[in-house]
Amino acid sequence: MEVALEDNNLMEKVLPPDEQEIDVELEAKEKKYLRGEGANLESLKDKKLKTQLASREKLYGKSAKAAAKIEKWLLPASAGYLETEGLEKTWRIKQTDIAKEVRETVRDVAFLHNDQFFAAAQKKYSYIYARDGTELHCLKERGPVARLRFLKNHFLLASINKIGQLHYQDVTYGDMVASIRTGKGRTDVMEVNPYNGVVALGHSGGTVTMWKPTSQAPLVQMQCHPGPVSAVAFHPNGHLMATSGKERKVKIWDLRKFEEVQTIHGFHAKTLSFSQKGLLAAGTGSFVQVLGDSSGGGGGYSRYMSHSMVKGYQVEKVMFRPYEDVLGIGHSMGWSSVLIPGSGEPNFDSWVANPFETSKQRREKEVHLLLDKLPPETIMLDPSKIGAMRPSRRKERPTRGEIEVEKEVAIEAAKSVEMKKKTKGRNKPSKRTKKKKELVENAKKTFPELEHSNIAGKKRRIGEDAAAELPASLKRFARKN
Amino acid sequence: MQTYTKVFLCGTWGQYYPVTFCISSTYFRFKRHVFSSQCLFPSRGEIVSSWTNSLVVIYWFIAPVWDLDQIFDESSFSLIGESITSLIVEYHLRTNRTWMFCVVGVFPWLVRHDSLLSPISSSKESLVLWNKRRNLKPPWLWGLIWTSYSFKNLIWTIVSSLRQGDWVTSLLDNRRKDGLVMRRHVVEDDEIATKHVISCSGSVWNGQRCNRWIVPPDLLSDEWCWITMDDSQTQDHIRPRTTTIENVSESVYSAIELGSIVLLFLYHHVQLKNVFVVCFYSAHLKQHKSKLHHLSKTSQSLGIKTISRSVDEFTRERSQDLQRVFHNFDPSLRPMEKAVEYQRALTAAKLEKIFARPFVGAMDGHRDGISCMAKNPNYLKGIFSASMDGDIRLWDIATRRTVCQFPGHQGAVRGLTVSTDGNVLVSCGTDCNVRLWSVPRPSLEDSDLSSEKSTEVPSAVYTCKNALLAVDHQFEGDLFATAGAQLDIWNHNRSQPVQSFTSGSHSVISVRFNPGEPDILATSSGDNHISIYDIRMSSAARKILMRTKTNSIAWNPMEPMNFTAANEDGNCYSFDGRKNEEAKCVHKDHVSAVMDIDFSPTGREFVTGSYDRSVRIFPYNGGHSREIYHTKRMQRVFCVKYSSDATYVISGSDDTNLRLWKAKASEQLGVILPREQKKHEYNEAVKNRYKHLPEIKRIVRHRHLPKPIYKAKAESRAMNDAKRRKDERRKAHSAPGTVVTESHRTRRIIKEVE
Repeated sequence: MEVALEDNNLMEKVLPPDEQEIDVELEAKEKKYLRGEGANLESLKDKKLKTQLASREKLYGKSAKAAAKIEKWLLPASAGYLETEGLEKTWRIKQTDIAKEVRETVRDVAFLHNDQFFAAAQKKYSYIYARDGTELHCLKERGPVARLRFLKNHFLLASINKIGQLHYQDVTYGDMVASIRTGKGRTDVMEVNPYNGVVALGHSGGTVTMWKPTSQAPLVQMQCHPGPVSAVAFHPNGHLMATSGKERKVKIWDLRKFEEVQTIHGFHAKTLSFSQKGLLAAGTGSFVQVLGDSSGGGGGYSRYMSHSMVKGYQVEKVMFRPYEDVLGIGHSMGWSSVLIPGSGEPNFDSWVANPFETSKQRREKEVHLLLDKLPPETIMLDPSKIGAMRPSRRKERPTRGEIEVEKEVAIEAAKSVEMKKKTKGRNKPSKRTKKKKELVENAKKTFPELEHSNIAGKKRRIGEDAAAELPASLKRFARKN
Repeated sequence: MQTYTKVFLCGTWGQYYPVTFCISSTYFRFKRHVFSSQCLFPSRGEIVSSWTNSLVVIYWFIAPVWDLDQIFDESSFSLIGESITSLIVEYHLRTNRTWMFCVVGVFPWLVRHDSLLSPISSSKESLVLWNKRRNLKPPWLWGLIWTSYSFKNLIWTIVSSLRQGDWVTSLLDNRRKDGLVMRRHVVEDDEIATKHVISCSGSVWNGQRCNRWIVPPDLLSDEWCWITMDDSQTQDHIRPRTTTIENVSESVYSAIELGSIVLLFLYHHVQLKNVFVVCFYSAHLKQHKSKLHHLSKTSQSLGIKTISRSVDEFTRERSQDLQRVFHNFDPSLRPMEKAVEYQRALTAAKLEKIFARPFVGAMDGHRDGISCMAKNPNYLKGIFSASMDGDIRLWDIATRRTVCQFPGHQGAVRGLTVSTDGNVLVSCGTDCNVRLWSVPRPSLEDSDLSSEKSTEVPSAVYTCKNALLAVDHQFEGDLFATAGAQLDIWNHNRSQPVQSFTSGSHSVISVRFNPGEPDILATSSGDNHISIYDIRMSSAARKILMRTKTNSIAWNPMEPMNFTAANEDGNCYSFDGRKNEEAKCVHKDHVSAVMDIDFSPTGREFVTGSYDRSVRIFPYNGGHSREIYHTKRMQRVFCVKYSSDATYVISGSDDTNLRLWKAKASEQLGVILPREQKKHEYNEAVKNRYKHLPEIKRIVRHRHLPKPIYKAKAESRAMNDAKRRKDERRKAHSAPGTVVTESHRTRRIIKEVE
């Protein structure tokens, strides 16, 4: 014991001041692990017991020291704290201040092919996260992204960035399939047409452009509004598009004819969303309006339900929940959900989306989705063209009969033209007949090839007749055509 | 307690799935249970459950009825208990209707007493109290209640509609009268009134359920108020806590906003602090609109429905069950389906290529090239083969081993056939002998297990003058024909031919009996003739003179008037036996002489073996082959056979081996599960749908060819093209009509003799 103590003294002498400090700290911590005073060995008379207890005490001391060291050096996490400077008080710090400290801008979030992965457009780059929040990829190529959309059938992650570049990235192997400079300036209005995978962008000039990854030029440019376009939404059948402009109008467009079918006046929708059953939700200020189509063809959208949030809540985004009668509302204070009966598809298809999917089914489906992955070339305005016949490029020529009929009609028209009564000397019958003849001639001239082919046909017939008339031995000298 | 032994159901607020209690005198059994129709039709059940020191007694009367009135009457609950918190019941009637009930009750006459066993006094007291407080009549007949002698007979139900002035049904179970007493009377204004709308949540997709309900403290007072869902998680501050009756429709809305409300309920509230609510909801309410008219008029609540799914309807009950699958073929759920289908077709085409492994195995044992083969009609796995050194073997295809040998021929065996009954094997060869053998009967044991090859002795040997080149047996009867210098018809029992046909100086190369008409046979001879004989006549019935020799003939077993001839020029010609001036179809692809041909038993395709060391499978009406089989080791193919189940193809070649091939190269062998089968069929269908598109066409059509065949094909193509061009030019530069282009179907036929 004494020797050991001496050793300790020696050590203390040798130790530098820092470590001495640490030693003091450790000793304080050791106390916690010693769990009280050791047994009083002095009073013991039984020597055997005394030595046993002494060695036990020594062991306790060692383990306490080890535990103290572990606490000092090895515990991985540190506790949270609030620190204030100067006159600031901790109780002045509000939850919003804490949120400010942590906050990173997330401009948009898009789920990938299933609920296991999602992409988030953050301040500088966009990232792909797993379901539990583990960062999987950082997508640096795109720059600061404003909107992200996932094209499920093509496994493409489409994004528009702050300088108006549209990127398509294949998430299966990470390749940038296309990067398109839209040249229309900055926008954060982007939506995918679920029917054909075409991406629509709404621009500040009031145009909506539609894009596919395989061409640098837009497929369609529509002037939808005089002012900036603030939201775009597509009907799930792909034939209707709703746009809203800053001039307080919502317009419904038929995408088969690219024609406006309805204008709804009176509110400026910041966000639009179509439900599976075709209800249209529009968010303005702190008010959400749901429009229903009474006509069925898309032209008769009228008020179906409405919902007002608490004054001051700004609705940023509305989105219908698929297969449920629920409308999610993202607003300035968080998010809420309301029930919109009749908005969702009641019958799901297990092979398309199964809310009761087991993990095994999900894995299976992932494989099948990948097998059915479409190449980016299949994005086109009319996807039913795939596998169909290409229309013939040659123009259909009118048949001879049709041309003749047309010609006769033209001649008749020329003949029946009423001549004006001219002044004396110019109104002679001879001049009138001459003029009429000229008109008829002119009408005939518009069909020159008919005359020509008729003549050629006559000639050929004459030649054939000649061959027929010839004796057999001379027939081979008859002119062939 | 001992008397209540039946099974019943009840639940708590927000507990979507009812709990089944099986209560007996000895034990309580709790089980989470979804009602199935069988267990839920006790004509009269009782429940006693212990619930936070209160007792619930429920009488259950359900009849599978459509009429809502009747449901009102019969499928109602009676409750007695202290502060029954709630009860939700859901069940399926046989008609698949889902009903949900919610019951809230606070029963006054038991509140003051610890046990249920003194209801009479309690109800007396409460009645007095009630009457004291409000000078009102109770909506039911109190007299009946408290005159009952036991609490079993105190069962009460009120299922009320919302409307004042509407009727109320009270259901009394009077055991003494042995049955139900149904009473219905019109509600007077101050008797019963709707004051509260209670909402109860169904389950939502992600499993959000409402578990807590906000019951305003004044519920038991006389004020109008709401019971609302506690959704304190959502930030919604516009929840009405107390509203007036004028706002019912609006409050329905706000209730919807609060969460998913499936059920809207009526309740009745009387001053005696008994809140008793029986509520219902049916998915099929719309069907009974007319009957429900008075209800729907009174309350908007019935016009509202949101999607609600119970997990148990959409998932399997037991882990052994198959997962349930639901279909909705709405096209807007499957965007770009054409593109997806095309992609699937492409994948299917590629997969077919990947799985195309046609070669099953080789059977070696012969010591010289295989000259001919015969199928054993009795035994699917058996095949006879004969070689150029006089060896005849019977093979077991499954094990690919020789089962027995038939020694005796000197020199090459050129013909082999088995009688249709499968008992007699006939062989002939260049040693001028015809040998008849009795075929060993396959038995279960030795078919697979015989390691020792047995040898057989011929049952008869007939000798003729010339070498024999082919033999074929009649389909019905015991005649067979041999081909050599002449065509001989033999009987099994005679040592001399029954009949002989001679035609010119050339020998007959092949002979084949018609499968339909037993007396008709087709032969081909060295002088390029194909002849059809009727053996009842003395000379050939019809003859076709071709430009080249025909090596073999096969009749189509399904269309027995048609036959296909394997020609020396590398083509096969399908003829209609009745109309021989032109071939029905010319099957081109082999680059050298076609040596043998055999039809599939389905008659839809045939297999050919050629001198160019390849085996091809043609459709019976297609100009080009569907499939080509070749290996590096396979030499000239002399004989081919399609197996009797149309699954395999067997080829015998110069390299002394028999080879076993699958008839469909990518077919999955073995037992196929129905789902696998469906998948295969789907793949086949999409492939077939898009087969004309260039990408798929290229993949499906592509076959790797051995270099000699590839070169020979290219060469012959170049020659044919040159010839065609030349002919076209010649035609263009000569007098019209002088140069006649002959069609492929007649080009190689010189003449046809009747």
